[in-house]
Formats: sequence, C-alpha cells, structure tokens
Amino acid sequence: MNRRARWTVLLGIVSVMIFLGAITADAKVTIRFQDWRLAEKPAGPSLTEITQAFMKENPDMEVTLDPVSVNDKLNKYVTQSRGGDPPDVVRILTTDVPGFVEMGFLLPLDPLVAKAGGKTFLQDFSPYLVKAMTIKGALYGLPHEGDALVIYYNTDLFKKAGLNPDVPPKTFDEFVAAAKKLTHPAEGRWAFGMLASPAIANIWMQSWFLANGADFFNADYTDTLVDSPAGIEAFKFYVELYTKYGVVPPGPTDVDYAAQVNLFAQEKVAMIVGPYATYGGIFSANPQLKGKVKMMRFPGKVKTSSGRGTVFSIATGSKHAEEAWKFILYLNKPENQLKFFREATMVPTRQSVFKTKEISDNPELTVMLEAIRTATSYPIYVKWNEANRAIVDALHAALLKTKTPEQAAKDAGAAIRALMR
Amino acid sequence: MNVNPSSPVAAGSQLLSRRSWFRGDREGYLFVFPALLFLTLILIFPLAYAAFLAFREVLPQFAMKFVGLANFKKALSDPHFWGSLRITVFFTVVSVLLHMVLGFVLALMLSQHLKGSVLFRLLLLMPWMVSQVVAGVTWRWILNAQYGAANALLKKIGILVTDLPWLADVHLAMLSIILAYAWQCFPFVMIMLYAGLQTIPKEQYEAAQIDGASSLQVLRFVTIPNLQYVILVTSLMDFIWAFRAFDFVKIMTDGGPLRSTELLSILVYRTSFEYYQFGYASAIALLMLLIVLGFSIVYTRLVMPKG
Repeated sequence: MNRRARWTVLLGIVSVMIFLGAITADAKVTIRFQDWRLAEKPAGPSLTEITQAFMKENPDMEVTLDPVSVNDKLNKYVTQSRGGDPPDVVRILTTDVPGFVEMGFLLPLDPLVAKAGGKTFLQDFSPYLVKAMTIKGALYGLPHEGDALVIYYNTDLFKKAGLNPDVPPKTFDEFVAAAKKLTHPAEGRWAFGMLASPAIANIWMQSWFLANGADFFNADYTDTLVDSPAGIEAFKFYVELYTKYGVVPPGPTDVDYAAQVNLFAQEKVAMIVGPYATYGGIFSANPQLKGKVKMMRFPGKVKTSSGRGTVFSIATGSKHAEEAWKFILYLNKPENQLKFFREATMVPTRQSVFKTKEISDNPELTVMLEAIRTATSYPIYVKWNEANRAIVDALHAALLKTKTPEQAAKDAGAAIRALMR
Repeated sequence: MNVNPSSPVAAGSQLLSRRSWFRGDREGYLFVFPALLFLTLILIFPLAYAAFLAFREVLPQFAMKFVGLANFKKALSDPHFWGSLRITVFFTVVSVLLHMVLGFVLALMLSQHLKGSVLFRLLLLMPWMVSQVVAGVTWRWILNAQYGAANALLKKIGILVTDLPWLADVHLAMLSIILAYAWQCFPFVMIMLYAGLQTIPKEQYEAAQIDGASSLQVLRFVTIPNLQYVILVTSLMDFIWAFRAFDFVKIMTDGGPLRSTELLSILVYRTSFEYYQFGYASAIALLMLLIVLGFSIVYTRLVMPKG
C-alpha cells in the first residue's frame, strides 16, 4: 500500500469513529442539575445517591451534577439564563421564583403536572408552598423540601433562670419577661440570638410580624403592611429586644445564620430562630446539647410563622423538559423525600410522607409539624430583593438607633410603595 | 535614478514594501493572535456588551428597549449611587495611603538586609498569596463581636473591657475593612518599592553621606526621587484595585451595616443580580470606568516627573 493509500485508509477509519461516536453520544439524553445543596454535607451525598439510582433506572438518561455555592446560586443562574445556557433542573428558593418568572427564566409546569395527575398529584404537596409557587395562575416549581421557622431554646438555661421549659412564653410580654431572666451580660450570656445580617434578616423577622397579625405585604401584594399599626408594633417589639431590653448580644447586624447557631451551641444565647435544619446544625456544633434543646412556636396573637421552602424548576432554555420533569418527579418520590429527610434533615413537602411513622411519631417533630400546618409563606413578590433591602435598611437604622422604629418602618413603607408604582 | 513619488512605479514599490513588511511581521502577528483573541473575549467583548446594555432597559422575557442616557441620568440622581461613590472614594484614598506608607516602611526595613530578612520577606508576602475570599472569611471570623479572636485577644491584654462590634457598627465596619484589606494588599506595594530600592545606585547614598546629609535628607533627596516612577505606577495600580474592590467587602459585610460599606462594586452587583436591572447596573459600571480613567490620566500628568 503506498503512502497516499495508507493516509486515506487512516482518515477513513478516524471519520467512521467520529461518526459512530456522534451517534452513540446522541443516543443518551443528558440533563444538567444545578443545586447548592449538592455542595453541602450531608445533603450533597444524599442527592448524588438518588441521582445515581435514577440513572440506573433510566439508562437512556444522564444527569450531570452542577453544584454551586449558596452565595453564588442567584448570580450563576441569572448569568447562565441570560447567556442561553441554563441548567435543565434547578433548585430555587421560593422567594427567588417571582423574579425569575418575570425575567422569563422558568418554564410553567402545568402541562407536565397534568400528565402526573393534575390536582390530585399536587394535593399531596404542602399547600402553602404550592400556593406560593402558583404565579399568575401557573405553577413554576415543584416543592422539594420546606418547613417553618420555630424558636429553638436551651432547656438547661431555662431551668437555671427559674423558667419552666415545658411552658414556653406565649405572648410578647411573656417573651420579654423570660428573656430578661435569661440575660447575664457580665457572664457573656444573653437570651436571644437575633439574626440581622442582611441576607436573611427579614425572613427571620417576618414570623414576629405574622405572630402579631401583620406581614410585609397584603394578600395580593398590592400594598405593604410594614408600616401598618400591627406591623409597627411588631417591628418595635423586635428592635427593642436589643435597643431597650438588652437581651440580644452586641452586633446583631453582623450575626448571620452560622454565627447564630454558634452562639446557641456555645450557650451564649438561650434562644434562636431557625428551620428544622438548625436542629441538626446545633448538635453538629455541640453534641453535648442533645436532649437539652426544644422547639417552641412564636409567641403572639396569631399561631403562625414563616414557611420556607425550595422547589425544583425547569429552565426556559431547557432542550429536554420532559426528561427534566421525569428527574424532578424521581427526586420528589415519597421514598426519596423520606431518604433526604433521614440523611440531610430536610423536611419533606409531601403529606403522604408526613403520615409515615418515622415522621408522625417523631416527638422531635411535633412542634415543627404544627408550624408547617399553619405556615404563611415567605414573601413571594417579584421585586422582593429590592423591598427586602428597604426593610433591612429600616431594621439596621432602628437597631443602630439612627432612626426610631416608627420612622424606620414608615420610611420602609414609603420605599416599598415607590417600588410598587 | 529619481522616481516621481506619484508615479505608478513609486506606488508599486510602496505596495511591495508594505507587503514585504507584512510578510516579515506575519509570524509575529500569528504569535500574538491567541493572546489578542483571549483579551478580546475577556476584556473587549464584556466591555462592549456592558456599554451596549448601559443604553438599554432590560425587560422581562429577554426583551431590550433603547433608553438613551436614561440609566446615566438615573444614576446621577440616585442618592444610593452618590452614597456608594462617597464611600468608595473614602475607602480607596485611605487604603492606598495606608498601603503606600506601610509598604514603604517595610521595604526600607527589608533593604537593610538584616539577619533573617529573607524569611521576614517571605512571611510578609504571605497575605498577598491568600485569595480575597479566604481572607475575607477569615477576617470575618476574627472580627466577630462575640467569639472572634480580635476581641478575645484585646480583652486578654487589657485594651478592651467589653466586646467591640467591629463589623456591626457603621463607623467601625469601614475601619475594620480598611485594616483587613491593608493586611492583604500592602505586600504588593512593599515588594514593588523594595525592587525599586535595589536599583538606586549606591554611589548616590555615598555622596549624600560624604555631604553630611541626615537620614531624613537622604530619604527626601535620594530615595524618594529615585522611586518616583515606581511610586507612580504602584499607587495607580493600587488605586484601581481598591476602587473596584468587591470580594473582600462582599464577604465581610455585604455592604452593611446600613450601607456604610456599600462600595460601588457591591451596588453594581446588587443592582444586576438581585434587582435584575442589568442596564442600570451597566451604566453604573461604565461611570466607574470613566472615573478610574479620568483619575488615572490626571494623576499621571500631575505626578509624572518632568523631563
């Protein structure tokens, strides 16, 4: 064979290999799954295991995992969506969904839900989350995990202060009275670890508004209630825990989620607010607190608190929406939600999973389940991030005493109404 | 033989010489092409796209509307923009001054070549090797009001009686960030000035010594004049980096408390990724670029040694 013939044969073989490779590659559908929980422990390994099981049961599909840090989740998804390369399946916080819907980043799921059973299928999911994710009549996210905020308290510190840990405070006045007994600044101990760092300060504060019969917005988000009489009363109460009663450690504007859990774990504070995951976080930080931590509902006129959650959504640019939905359904199978609860302490969102003995007979979950049943969703408002900033500014201004709580709340109300125009 | 410059012969020979000039430099252009392409992708294209967005309003469903100078007018009438600009200028000026003074003093000490100066130089360079995110997270924990190392140490040695809210007080927060940022950035200034000091001819110092100059006079009339270019370049680079600082402040305070540390870079980030106002954010970013460019030109002309 001469040199030219040899090169021709070689080129031919290479071309056939490339062609075969292309055919083989097209046979499997690949979807990308973006989730900040993939980067967390123990949630990440649990989700990875569920994904691998899915791929085993669906050999014609491949799921590429795309972990993202919790601080970058927003800007990564926004950048990828604007760049035309979003993931197929993405986990989103409920508060971020309206903004994404407005920008056209999410696919309405109703046609896919209809195939899965429609209303009957959706009825199994936490009502406050389904309601929150229904925007302009269309569903944009299937709830995966969600719970409500409660107050965690240290029963040992309660007993040392002469308080009965089985009878937690039920009104604002009772809360202040208990907090004063729990506060000993000279010993570096305070009653309440207030989280006022900008990122989630308002979510943590919302429950106090709700417990007083107020909220940040009215039901159809056409007006703000931050400066309503009940709103100002709740806001003033919350701020004065620090400015007047001194039951909050110094520097609350710098206390973020990790810092408040640490304060509680180190027994520098007797009470903190948190979702169910905080329970596990406390014991990770200080295993000696096992058996000494209980949950209580927010004291106040109304028995409700902020309901949080995350949903799985499909990006508008996804080329494999059906396959993405198949994967979302798999992640949300009752047994997989239960597995995620067991391994990652993330509360499921399916009523059928709540009825399992593991959850319904778990004494540690009694208060949490009650809170979920009466939860009011986090604000689901398209301009939430800007409104949030106005409320955070008001909170910081009042905590740092650059404004009175009344003035700060009124200024926040005015700023939010300007946004709404 | 004289050739008429406007004749076809002259034109032909000019064309030939251009062609041979191109042929001669062709390999050079090919070598720099990958770098030029990379520069275009990471610098020129984003800049051009930002300029494109700055004159538009980005609407829902990816639509865009040309709005002319509306975004720039909005920025110039936005109190948050002016607040952030004021904070950014303050942060930049104080940071650069601090870096230059600290860097210069340490560079002078290092150039004494005392025993252990090699190890000392390595230790002093280490903050610069740490990423800004890692440094920000570490300083955030050090300066935590309740269990941070700073308060614990200062209380132990008797300087503090109660915990200071380093990052939770509107005045202390900026001071804390400036000091932490100085820890990270002074090594660059130090090493640049140290390198500059090595190039000063020893004879000038000897001549000054012979003339009976004091240490201060040597510093003023020998050292600093010889370092003018290095000082100019280093301070300008430091200014640009400080003006657009982001990671450090985002991690440490996220612009709080009460926006007291909300630099322009954080305002741009918030406006685009939290408020989805991409056009407006791009306009602010372009204004930042113009400010830095304008300052660089004026500063260089003022400080550049004459002749």
